[in-house]
Amino acid sequence: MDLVKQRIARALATLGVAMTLAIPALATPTEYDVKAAFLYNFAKFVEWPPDTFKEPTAPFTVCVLGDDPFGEALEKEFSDKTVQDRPIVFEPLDHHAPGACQVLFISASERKRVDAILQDLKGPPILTVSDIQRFVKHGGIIGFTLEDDRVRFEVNLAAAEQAGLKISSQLLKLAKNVTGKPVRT
Amino acid sequence: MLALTRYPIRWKLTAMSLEVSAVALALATVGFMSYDAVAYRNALVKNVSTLGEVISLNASASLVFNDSASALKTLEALKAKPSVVAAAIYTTAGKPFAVWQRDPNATVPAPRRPIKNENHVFTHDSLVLFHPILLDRQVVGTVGIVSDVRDVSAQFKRYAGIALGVLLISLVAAAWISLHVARRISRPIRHLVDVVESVVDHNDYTVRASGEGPDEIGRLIRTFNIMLAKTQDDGEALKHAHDELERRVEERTIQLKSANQELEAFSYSVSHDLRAPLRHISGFADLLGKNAAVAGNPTALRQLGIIIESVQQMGALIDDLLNFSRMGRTELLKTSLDLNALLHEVIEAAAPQYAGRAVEWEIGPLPHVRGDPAMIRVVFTNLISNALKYSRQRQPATIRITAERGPQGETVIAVKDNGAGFDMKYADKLFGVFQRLHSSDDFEGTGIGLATVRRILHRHGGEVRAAAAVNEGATFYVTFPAESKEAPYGAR
Repeated sequence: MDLVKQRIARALATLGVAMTLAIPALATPTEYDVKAAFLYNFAKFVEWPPDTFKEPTAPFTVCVLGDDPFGEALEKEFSDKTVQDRPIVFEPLDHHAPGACQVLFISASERKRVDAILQDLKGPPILTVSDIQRFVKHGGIIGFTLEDDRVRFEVNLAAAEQAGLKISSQLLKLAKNVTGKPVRT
Repeated sequence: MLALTRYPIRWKLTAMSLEVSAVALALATVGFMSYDAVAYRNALVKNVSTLGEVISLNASASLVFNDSASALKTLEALKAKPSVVAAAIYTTAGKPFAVWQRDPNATVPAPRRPIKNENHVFTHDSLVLFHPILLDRQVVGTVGIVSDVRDVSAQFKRYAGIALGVLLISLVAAAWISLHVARRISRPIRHLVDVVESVVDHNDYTVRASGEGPDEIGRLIRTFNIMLAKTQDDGEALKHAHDELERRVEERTIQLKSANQELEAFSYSVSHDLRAPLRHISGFADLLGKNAAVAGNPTALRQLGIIIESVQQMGALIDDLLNFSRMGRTELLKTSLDLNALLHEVIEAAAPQYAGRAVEWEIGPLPHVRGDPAMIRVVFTNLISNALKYSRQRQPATIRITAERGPQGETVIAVKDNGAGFDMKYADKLFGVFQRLHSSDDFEGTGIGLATVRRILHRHGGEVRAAAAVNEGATFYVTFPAESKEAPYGAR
């Protein structure tokens, strides 16, 4: 009886070791894999105004402005997923006005124009995300940072409020830094 | 219940109600406790489930943004719940994402696979609950919570103890109440039994059972009382009738006694007064016979002879009557009598009666009896005289006198002859006054002898009877009672 148990235990242990070895070998997520996942998950903790979508069947649109650093990661992340029961559409933008986007990722290539872009965007409810340094200081809503090779993010609450977006407290709780906190009345 | 048959009704009723209450209480207790156990578990599960729900709501962001530190902070909120000993959040791959333990030794079991619905399992001392962590209806992880239920078990044990205590107290109370109720039910029955036993033991029909009422026992008591009353009435009526009868018998007896005394006095005085003229007739008839004129006349002498003979006959008759009368009147002087001696004297005295005849005497050993010597002598003189008289045509005459003991200890003397005997259908006339079975032409006599014998024996508490057949002799049985006792009433 004990022999049988020992054999089973040994077999299981071997299997466990094999699996832990196998997982990193199969897929070590890159920085932009993680950021793609974050983009998708931000959408779940942010509330857009009710009149954002003109049609009930309108898709949830994620736009990337500038050079796309994600490669395949965004398509992979967003395929077969929904946000607020809407299919997700991925749309790369060059220098066009991003009026129909719900999430706008501003590529690092646009670093120099960031103030102008953000200035143009004032008004429509668009969640602006970027990994440009001190993005939130420029008036962006969520900015990625790296901390010990871990992806973290900062939030500019005043910018979000200006855009008419409500950010979940859960998300704020996880943010490395929250600026522009609303003054409690 | 069969084993209870020999116990009083009160105990049976008590046992019965105790059984019923014990079963009812036990069932109720088991029911309540089962219900409470289930309710307790459900409440516990619901409680921990709520915690799981809260954790999963607060941990979804931590999971999707891969922030295990914040997830751990969320779990640490469980510190406030003393029963929770450990909790963990797992990724959809089943790997632990954040683990919190109150006690470092506590182990948190991992879910076997990602779950979509909450599930839980009870071990002997804990409840392990897994709750899915959902984000936008998608499972992004699992939270597992281990809650210590030993406290609840202890509480439940205490509760069971209390329930058991209540059960015992209720049983004692039920026993006490049912004893009282049973006593109330059995008391009238026991009272009735006491009354019945008293009636049977003392033959007292005047007692009455109390407690008549509308129920069965009350009706039984009422009916029993009615029965007693009827029995009492019947008994009194019977006693009254008996007393009345007794009174009438006594009345009649007194009347009879006085009538009898008058009759006796009459017959005595008549007999006595008849003797004087008879003596005159006899005396003057003798004188007449000595008269020369009559002595010379043979016809006159013969006629005178008939007169004298008739006078003698009449004298004997009067003597017998007086004797008979005396036997009823004179006082008894009882002594112990040797019948052997008495019989020999009687036979000797009767010798002239059988002079010249052949008589064979057989006299067995005879006992002593208690009696009046003069009267008993009269008895045997009469019997021997009769035996000799009715056997005089036998050659030889055989007279046998024997004694034997009767079934009640009485002494029976049999006087048997081989004489003329008589027809048994006239046996009842044998002992009456002037009753004769044979004509005086065949056998002389007054017809008073056997009546005198019977009178004497009755006065001694004995009796006489006869057995006979025509020409085959007669036997007279004289019975003396076993112990001396007063003669039956009315035998005088």
